[in-house]
Amino acid sequence: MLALRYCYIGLLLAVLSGCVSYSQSFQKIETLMAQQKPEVALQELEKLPTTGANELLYLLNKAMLLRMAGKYVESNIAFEQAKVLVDKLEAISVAEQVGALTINDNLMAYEGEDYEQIAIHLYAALNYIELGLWDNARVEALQVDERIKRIKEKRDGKAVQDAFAAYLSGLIFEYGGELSDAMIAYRRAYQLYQRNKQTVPLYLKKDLLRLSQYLGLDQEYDAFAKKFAMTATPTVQQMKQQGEVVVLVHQSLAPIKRTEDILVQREGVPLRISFPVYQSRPDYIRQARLLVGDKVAITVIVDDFDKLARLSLETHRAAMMARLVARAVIKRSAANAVKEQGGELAGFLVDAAGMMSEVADTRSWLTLPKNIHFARLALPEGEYAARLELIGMAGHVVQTIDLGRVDIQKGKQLWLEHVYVAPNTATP
Amino acid sequence: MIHKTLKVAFIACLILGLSGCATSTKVSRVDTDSVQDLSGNWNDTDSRLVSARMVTDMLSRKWLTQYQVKHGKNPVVIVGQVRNLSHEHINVRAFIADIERELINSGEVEFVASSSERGEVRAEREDQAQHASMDTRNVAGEETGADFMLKGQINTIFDAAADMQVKYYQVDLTLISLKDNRKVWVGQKKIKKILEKSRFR
Repeated sequence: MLALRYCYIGLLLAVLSGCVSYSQSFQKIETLMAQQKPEVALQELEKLPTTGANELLYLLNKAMLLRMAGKYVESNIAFEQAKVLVDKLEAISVAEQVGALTINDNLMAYEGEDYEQIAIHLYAALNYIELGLWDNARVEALQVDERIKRIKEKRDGKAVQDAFAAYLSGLIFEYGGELSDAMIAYRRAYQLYQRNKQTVPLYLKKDLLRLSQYLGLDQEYDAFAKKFAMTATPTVQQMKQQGEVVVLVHQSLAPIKRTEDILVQREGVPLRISFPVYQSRPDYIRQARLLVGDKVAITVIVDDFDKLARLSLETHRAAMMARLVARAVIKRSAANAVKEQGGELAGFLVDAAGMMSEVADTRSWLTLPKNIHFARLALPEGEYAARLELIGMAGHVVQTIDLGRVDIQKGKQLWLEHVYVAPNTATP
Repeated sequence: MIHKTLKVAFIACLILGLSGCATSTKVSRVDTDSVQDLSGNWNDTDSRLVSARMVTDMLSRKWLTQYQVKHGKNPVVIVGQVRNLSHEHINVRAFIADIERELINSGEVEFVASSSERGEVRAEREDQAQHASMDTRNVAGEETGADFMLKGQINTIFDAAADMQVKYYQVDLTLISLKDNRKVWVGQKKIKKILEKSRFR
């Protein structure tokens, strides 16, 4: 009987050897992203586990690195595989649940946080826009709504929604001429920015004014005009005569999860649980300046994954706490049972194994940016010289990206994206 | 002693059992008409069902005989934009190709190259104007103008609750006269699927 107990402990310790923190093994990839070397980063990514509990993270990171390398078609293939996996993981695995309830959360396949699942569609849509496939981008916009419904059903009835996903849907509808659908999406984006306590982007305000005026929603237009202290310029008709340049800067990286040990009392018994807590990355770019011809547009933040991550953790805190306490109680009772049957030493060993295996789930989609900066600039048809200036936190230009000559066509939009993870400290 | 042989036998069985787990991919050829629904998404069966129904419908309506009687020849159709307004990434080109093939093979309708296809054809003609011999070259300006344009859209309505999902697809195709913008034919095909997801994996 004692041999069986020791076998159990041995098995536990074997499992623990897989408890290396996920976020630590990612350092090399981040450095390569800062050096603007996504192809080399992809090779590094292949060295990390590509199947098993972290398969979704592998696919998401692969898709992000591929899009950074400009390979939008392959990136979308990886995103489609990720979507299939997320759908598959909706079903419950009994084996994983048992593991999660007795050992730790890292044994469960990673399903992605609310905002991460929505970000899959967001980035897939951006990929399609870069490829000029606007109808496919529209499909992604519709899939966001479906995803939000599934999340609300599967989680505890609450879901943290990404306001930029709604704003991007609006942009896609407006480009396709579906202005009333665009207005609905812009309105939803406006509500979500306020609900998530984020600043409403300047460009969204302009879009709300412009469309409400065009669609004849006079009351709404007056309310917006008063609240924003702006008027609708240019109008929808004026925009149709011009082309546009849209620029997105993906800045820094999403926050890392660290573990924090808390002592909780349950029926007089002290329990030690390990709760994840977010650690933010530093900001490097305050804003960017887009110069096309003689016109300038300043970017604003439209998506803040740092804020969304913290909001998601707060929203689901209660459910997570309940599960962690339940696990601690199970481990404590297992240790007590062993102590009664096998003696003090065996009980202590099981208790120690339980404590050592109590590691919080520190997994997250680490190649997401910290935030996304966005600007739109409308110009008459023609060819212009363009460049993008990235302005650092101190107010100076830290990098100028020469975009060459851009060809603006009437009624068309040119989308440009740049990823700035960190200052490039590599020696050339 | 029995204990030891039993242990060896157990290990041997385990090894045999596990070696059966080493799978190579199993390939089985099936008839292209057989229905294989794997993920519940739009697949080749849907594409075939829609194109077959659309073609039967298009060939059986009055617009065709009216045109043939009036002009004494088959109508010429060009494929315009068929928009995917659905919740899924559907390859519309595949089922448009099915429709084209059926209609051309019926001998009642003729198709000309669409705007995306004729770029290459025109480039080849320009090249021939410079390099091909006088009696074998095809000159520009001899293309057949289309009489009708085929346009369409795919729409979906999805509904989901717990482990059940209902997918409803509606495919609409329109034939528009290039002479006077009249819509001479409208075809519609609806498909409904019910998916039951397993609760456990």
